[in-house]
Amino acid sequence: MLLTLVSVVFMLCALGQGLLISTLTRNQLVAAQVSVLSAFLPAFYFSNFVFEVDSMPWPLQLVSYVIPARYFVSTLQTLFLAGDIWSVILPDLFGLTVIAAVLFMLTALTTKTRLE
Amino acid sequence: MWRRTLSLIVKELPASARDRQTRWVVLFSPPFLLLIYAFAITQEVKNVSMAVLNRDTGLESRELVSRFEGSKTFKHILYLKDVSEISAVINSKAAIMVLHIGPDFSRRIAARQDAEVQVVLDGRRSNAAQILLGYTAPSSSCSCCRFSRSRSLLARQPRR
Repeated sequence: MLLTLVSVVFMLCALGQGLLISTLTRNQLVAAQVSVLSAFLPAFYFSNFVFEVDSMPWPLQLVSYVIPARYFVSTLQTLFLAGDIWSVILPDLFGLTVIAAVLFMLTALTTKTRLE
Repeated sequence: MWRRTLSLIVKELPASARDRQTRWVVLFSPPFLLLIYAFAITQEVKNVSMAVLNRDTGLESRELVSRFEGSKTFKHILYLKDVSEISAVINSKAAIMVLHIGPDFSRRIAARQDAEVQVVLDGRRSNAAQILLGYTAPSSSCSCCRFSRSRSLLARQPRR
């Protein structure tokens, strides 16, 4: 149940990011490139999944806070390996919610509506 | 074949550099990524937090703890009072590793027996935990007094 909730919020982040990228970019090539660079690679490197974020220099540690995958990986690890530990899950859920809200807000602000 | 590839490059490069967005993405992002990943991709573990539960009052246990205090691997060291705090500290991610020194640690060393410490690691960060265990084993062996053989244990709660 909790897993579903966290996954849904993470999916909202991914959706918001996708919508934002497609509103900002003009053609498909750029959109594909930007989504790989801004979603896949940071999710792999800055999410504590393979490499330790604590070992990185502090500017890169700051970058990791705006990556939704960081919060999702932390929650997944906790849910699967340790149990329902609210002191870990609640801050992660909060972070994911804030990122999702900001992404949707930016998308709403940058989308131009016009009649043709 | 190379001629055709070359003419393709000559044709496509200005074509993709014409658009401002494509220019940025194609030409500027690889060096930028190279710079980031040069600093980010390392297997070394440092700046992590650990906790110490020292139930021994002897000199040797304090010396052992001081080796961890001096190292760059650990940024914060929490000092615990009781065994019951260990699981809370690991579960809440306040520390990735707990060093537990039993009450008979210095007594066993004085008696020239093998003294053991318990190392509790966070199994969620399994990769970093293994590396930390590797760091811990040599720093617990000492030349003046013969204590070594740290016993490891991956902290893992049974699922409810």
